[in-house]
Amino acid sequence: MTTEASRSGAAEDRLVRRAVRGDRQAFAELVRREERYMYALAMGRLGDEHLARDAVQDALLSAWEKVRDLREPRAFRSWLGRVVINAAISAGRKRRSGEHVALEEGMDAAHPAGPGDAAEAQERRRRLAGAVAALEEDRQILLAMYYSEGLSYAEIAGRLGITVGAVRGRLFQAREKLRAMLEEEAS
Amino acid sequence: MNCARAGEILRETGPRDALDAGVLEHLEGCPACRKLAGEYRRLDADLAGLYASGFEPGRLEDALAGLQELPRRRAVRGGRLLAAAAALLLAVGGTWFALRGRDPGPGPDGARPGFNPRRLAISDSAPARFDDVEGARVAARAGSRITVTAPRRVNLAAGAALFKVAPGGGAFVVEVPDGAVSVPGTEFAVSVEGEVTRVAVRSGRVRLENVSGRLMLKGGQAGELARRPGDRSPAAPARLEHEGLSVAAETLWRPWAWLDAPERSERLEHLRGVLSREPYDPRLAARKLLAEAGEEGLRAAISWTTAKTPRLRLEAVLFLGRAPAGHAGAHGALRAAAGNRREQPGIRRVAERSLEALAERKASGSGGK
Repeated sequence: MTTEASRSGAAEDRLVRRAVRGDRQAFAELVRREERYMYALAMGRLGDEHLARDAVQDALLSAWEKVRDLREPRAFRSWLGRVVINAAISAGRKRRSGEHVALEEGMDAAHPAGPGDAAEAQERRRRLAGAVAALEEDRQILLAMYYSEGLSYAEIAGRLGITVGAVRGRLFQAREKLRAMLEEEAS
Repeated sequence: MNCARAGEILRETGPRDALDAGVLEHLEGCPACRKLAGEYRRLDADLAGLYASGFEPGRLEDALAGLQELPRRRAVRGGRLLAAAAALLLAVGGTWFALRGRDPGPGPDGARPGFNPRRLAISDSAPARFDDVEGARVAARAGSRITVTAPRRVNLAAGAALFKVAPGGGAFVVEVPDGAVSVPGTEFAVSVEGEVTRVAVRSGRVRLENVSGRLMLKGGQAGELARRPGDRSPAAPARLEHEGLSVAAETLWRPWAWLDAPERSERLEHLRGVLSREPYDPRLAARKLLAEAGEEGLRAAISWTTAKTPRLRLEAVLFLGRAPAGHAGAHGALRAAAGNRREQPGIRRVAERSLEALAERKASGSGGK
């Protein structure tokens, strides 16, 4: 198992090195693997599907331009996560300056998603995304890996190069922070 | 087990972890801890929902397709200069050949050999909609001339149309005079007026190309393919900043409903006025337009509250929330929308909020918008 994991890690390192040297196919292969992770990170921060998609596309282009500066192949996922978070921050700024939130949200509320309380769900999602955005970047990355990709503590630890204990500690600290922020907002 | 210890364990138990038996026992007799456990469960479910919401695998392919066209920002040094120049020549030549090769040109509406072209039935007096044209939804202005020339390829010879392309089926190409608009999966509008083609992108990315160059546009941006009088070849695709954004603003203003709108030409003129004063931000422009449309806009919005399109009804009730506080028509339309049991809950709630906004303004004595 360990050998298999290390083989796959080595293969990924090779892909990253090729991407750093300007190989578009290698870069495409790498980001395809991270599609869910990238989207989850943006969505977690923005709470808006359209903005999240745009942010991921911006992040992808930005990552392609900057990947040559990546020194440590093993840090690719964390590095990509930060690129996505920055793109999401930028998308969030545009949303605020564009003052289109009410209109767009209203549109989403009117989507014929079903008789359920779509507007309320949207509002809850937006509040949660606001709280996630207030967390440290590494916490956002952890949450996306855990909740979106369904990775185990050990898998996350392997990918981020930290201990399982650190993963658990940071994850639950982030979750507790989120709960407290949402509770405070509700009260 | 006491509550402090139970709370500590609950905090450190993820949604995929087994809950400690002692905690389970404690929860049975402790409503406060049960509440806490419920909060964590809800939070875990909300987080999973948030991260998964709207995810559609394969969407990245759109951006990756665009990536193939982008240069790498890298300084060209020394020996690489010749290689870069050669690559540039090849690219320009390739583009020329690709466009020449792909465009049979003078054939009837650019039909591809071996493909049986079909012209979309669009009358000169009414707009038309098509749910599936080679994987795209198309809403076309009256009098538009659109021909399906190959799989996922249409030719827009004249008029204007809004395209919504489902991702994942490969590139969708709209051929226009002197060029092409290629989209992997997005929502965009194209208008052809004489020698000028304008493209506005609502979401995703599109590529404009002609023999003189290429241009990538993303959501909220608009561009133009044009040939100046007397020029033998068209100008390179250009980004539009302030001028000629009617399609962009219309598309973003009233997605999918724009073709049904009454008094289109008046709105267009007004819109141009708004856009010429403001730095271009389609959403902001739309908002301003809604705010500045005056009595004419109010009348239109009142009629839109019973439109077939939910988005249009929603925009109408949003807009009417900014009506003058004493506007009887706006009040009546909002009350009807809020009390309509067959209306979607989201729209009813927005109508209620708009009514409240009017009432608040009336109470505070500020009758303006």
